[in-house]
Amino acid sequence: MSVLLADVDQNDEIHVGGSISKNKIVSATGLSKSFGNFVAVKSVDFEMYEGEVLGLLGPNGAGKTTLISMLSGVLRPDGGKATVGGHDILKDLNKIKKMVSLVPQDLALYMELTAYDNLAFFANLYGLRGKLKKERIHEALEMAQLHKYANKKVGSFSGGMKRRLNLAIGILNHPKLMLLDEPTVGVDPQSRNHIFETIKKLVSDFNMSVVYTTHYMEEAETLCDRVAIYDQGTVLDIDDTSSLLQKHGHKQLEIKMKDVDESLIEKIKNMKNVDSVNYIDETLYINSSELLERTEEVLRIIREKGLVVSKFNVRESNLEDVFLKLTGKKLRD
Amino acid sequence: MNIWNMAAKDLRIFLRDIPGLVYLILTPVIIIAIASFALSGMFTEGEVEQFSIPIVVEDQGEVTDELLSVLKETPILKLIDTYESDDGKESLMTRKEAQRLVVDKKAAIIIPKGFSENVKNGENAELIVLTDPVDRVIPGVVTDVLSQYTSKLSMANVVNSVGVTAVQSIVSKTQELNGVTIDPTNEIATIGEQSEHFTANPPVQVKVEKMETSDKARETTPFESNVPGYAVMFVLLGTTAAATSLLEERERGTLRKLQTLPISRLSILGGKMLSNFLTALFQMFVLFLVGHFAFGMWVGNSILGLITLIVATAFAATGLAMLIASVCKTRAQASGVSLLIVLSMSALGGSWWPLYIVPEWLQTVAHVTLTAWSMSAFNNLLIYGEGMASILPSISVLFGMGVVFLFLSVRMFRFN
Repeated sequence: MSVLLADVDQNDEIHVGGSISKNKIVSATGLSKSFGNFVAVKSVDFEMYEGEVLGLLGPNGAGKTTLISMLSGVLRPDGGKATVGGHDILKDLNKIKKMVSLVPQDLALYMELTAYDNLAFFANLYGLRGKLKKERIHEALEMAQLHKYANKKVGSFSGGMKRRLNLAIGILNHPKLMLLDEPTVGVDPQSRNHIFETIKKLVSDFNMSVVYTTHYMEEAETLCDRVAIYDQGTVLDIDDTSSLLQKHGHKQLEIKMKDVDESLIEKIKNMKNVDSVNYIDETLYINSSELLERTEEVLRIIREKGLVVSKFNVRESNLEDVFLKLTGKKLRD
Repeated sequence: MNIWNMAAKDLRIFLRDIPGLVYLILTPVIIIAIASFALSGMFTEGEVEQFSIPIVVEDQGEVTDELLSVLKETPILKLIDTYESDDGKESLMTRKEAQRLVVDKKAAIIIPKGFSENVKNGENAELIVLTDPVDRVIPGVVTDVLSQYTSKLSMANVVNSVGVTAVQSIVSKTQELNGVTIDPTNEIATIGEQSEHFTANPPVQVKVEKMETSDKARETTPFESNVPGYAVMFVLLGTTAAATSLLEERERGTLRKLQTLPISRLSILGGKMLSNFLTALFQMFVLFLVGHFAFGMWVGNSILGLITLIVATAFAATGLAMLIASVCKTRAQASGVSLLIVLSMSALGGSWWPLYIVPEWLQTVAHVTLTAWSMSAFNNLLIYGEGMASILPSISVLFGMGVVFLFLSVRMFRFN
């Protein structure tokens, strides 16, 4: 299932985050990519707007990296169309490369060189020269809080410092669109917070648009104006977090117990207004718009089956639940 | 400009890699020095490396004395006629001790008792050479030296025997027919003198004339062939290793980042080529400078030719290295493939030994390698002292190979 942001009236301003304009920065229709028999991206349609932070929330191997690789010109799509800043990704790749910056999940750094040399190398390739180049390098070092370490070899940096430098390289060309591929993987909480603050600052100060791929729902909830639920190369739904929760998330009943069989799951599924039932890690997850009404009925069936409940909980739903409902699996499966 | 930016980055990394630099320069210098000093005897007419050969002298006599003096005057042999016995005394070499020493010395000579007597009497006489079957060179040399001497002795004996027999037969028949007594002593003595004269001055001889194929005023040293030989080999090893940094960029993700930048893929590959080419040039020039100033290698009569040849070789090596990096999918794969190709080319193309010593068909096959073209041109310049004109075909082929290799590498490299 693909969902278009076209649900949003283009004459209306979107007010998530307060600075999103109605100008499209990305528009993709039927975007597809396969590697041999493996279909990595299946006819994806989506749009995003200037100043927007769009989260691509999906598990590892969902095809997130392939999708942003096509938008950044690393991969050529097999089918479909996409524009970035109004430029066709097949025809105007060079113009797109000037306005887009990909911050890859793998650290695109030369460990043998200093932080300054790394920045200078990429600045040169962005065509920056003279005073402007120096200013941008200085700005990037400031933003990454690496000024003191500018002349140290990157190989001696901590994981968090490398991640910050990786991100800093991405802002050298002041891109209109940043594609951040799992930028917080393997970093300490302090560096993670720093990266979050940097992204927020980039959006507020430079009105950058950001595609943020992650498999951490907390990051998507915290940072993103809208979130695309993405799995197996397909956008299952795309909307702001509250709308997604409203549409797909209900209070959830969690019952921890052993020996749950298919007949029990089927019985619960067949109850009125039960949206989904999943049994994962010896825990039964039940979503229903009438959860309180259903709870008594569920417990009665469990008692009849003679099963022993070791833990019982009712909680507010989150993006993890939305993902579970839409895909039948957890984000980190 | 982007090509230069790419190359400058690689060169900066290269210059900060001190162990890598040491490997690039010091290793070939050490190998060149070892190979050249080890083979110095094959090139110079001065001191010759001698083979120490145990000799057991069981015979006493004129022929044995003469044989010993001949062997002592043979420059390549150093005779060991005594050994230190268990009680610390120096004793004459025995068969038993000679047999023990053959393992180390590879050959030993035994002059058996009665040798002189048998030679004098024109009877069968034998010299014995003990050999170690694992070696062919030293036993071959010893056998050749002895064979030359025994051939002379045999010829003298045969001439004496045939002459004396003929004279005695004639004398006997004449005495019988004419009833007179004839004394053939003088004729027999003359036959002896003549046979000795012709043994010392054989009527058929081999005359060796040295052709003026190289600069007369200069003596060739091993460095004139070893410096270019090992320089070409190590430049190939160096460039293939450097080219695999392209695969490293793919493996560590920087290549993906580079593809998102507003530069062409040709600039990315061009930068790699340029840095490899400059590294190869640097390595070759340093090795030739070390060869010249540290080892006294002659640089030929055409400096322009030498520089052009170095540039052409570095260019072709860069092309080959880029092609290997383009065809291989991983660095481990590229390392294995490049080692196989470079070592094969070095053996086949004349880096380790002169191409003219291999079979003719192999010399023809060898010219599919850039090493063969490069080495034949270096030999023309540094050994025969020829000029630019003699190496133009090789230079053209090397540049041609470089262009073809680079074209193929651009076509075949997969960025993702």
